[in-house]
Amino acid sequence: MITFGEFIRELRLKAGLTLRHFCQLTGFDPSNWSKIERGLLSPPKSKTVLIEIARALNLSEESEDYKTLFDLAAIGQIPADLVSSPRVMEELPVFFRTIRGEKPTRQELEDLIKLLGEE
Amino acid sequence: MPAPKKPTATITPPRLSFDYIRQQADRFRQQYVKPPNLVPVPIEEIVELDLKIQIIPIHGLQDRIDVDGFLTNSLNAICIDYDVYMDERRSPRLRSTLAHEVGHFVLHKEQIQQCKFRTPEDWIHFREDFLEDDLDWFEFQAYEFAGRLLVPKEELEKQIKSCSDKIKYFKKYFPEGPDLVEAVSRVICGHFGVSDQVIGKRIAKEKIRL
Repeated sequence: MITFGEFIRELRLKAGLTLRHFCQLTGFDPSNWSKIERGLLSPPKSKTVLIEIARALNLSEESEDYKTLFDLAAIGQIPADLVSSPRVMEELPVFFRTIRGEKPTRQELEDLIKLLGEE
Repeated sequence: MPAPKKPTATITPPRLSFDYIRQQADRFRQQYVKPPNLVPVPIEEIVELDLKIQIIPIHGLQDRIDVDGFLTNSLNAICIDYDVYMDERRSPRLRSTLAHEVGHFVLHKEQIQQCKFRTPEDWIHFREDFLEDDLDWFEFQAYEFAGRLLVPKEELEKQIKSCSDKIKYFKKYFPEGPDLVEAVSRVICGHFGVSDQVIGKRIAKEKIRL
């Protein structure tokens, strides 16, 4: 079953809204909203906020997508396994170089894994 | 006695010619930039809306890891330092980082797909074993792609021509060379939405005489 985050991202892209533009319209912090779309934070529960989101996505009250938005927000829990290492393993980079132009240290590599886990 | 380190997969950088990279960047622009000569290239929109790559702003990426951003090995997201993403004044940097990661996406997809990490330790070994010389190849190629994508040669020449009066003026004060290039780059970088350093490198790369 599709999650709230997956559903909303699909609608956002269909509406031609970047993460930045969507957050400008709704007032969400982009980092937090990205977490909601990736299922790392619970969807908003407030009706007012959900109406605001629907408005930003240009959904009419009569549409199926509007109802689905509210339904998925109501059941949106964060499955424990989504917050675990398989996600982090997929997010690790193959290429990256530090800004100072040096090979990252082992400490930095470990910190990156931690940071992605926290995010 | 410490357990022997498990060998990790290595990837070999392709030796892509500059001509090939330029063709790839031009093809990319033809496909995604409408009209193809549009500048600044709407790279953020292309990344998210056309390539369907998520942008993930991450707090502390630069402070803690000394990195602006990177493409994930799953190829479906670019992680970006939160402050770089949010600060309008750092938009040239953000745009260059995104274009650079798109360069990896276009040029190195096959090599990235070869890399699958089962455990954090797997990845750490992979990174530690990654030869700097190999990484240089990958990075040069992505930089070249990003430069040619964000600063197309024809538009660069057009811009330089359009400020010929200023160039004449600058020439009175600066000798030919880096100072002159820097002054001209500062004048035209805003048109492309990149830093003056990027323009300076593009002028040198395209061997444009001022």
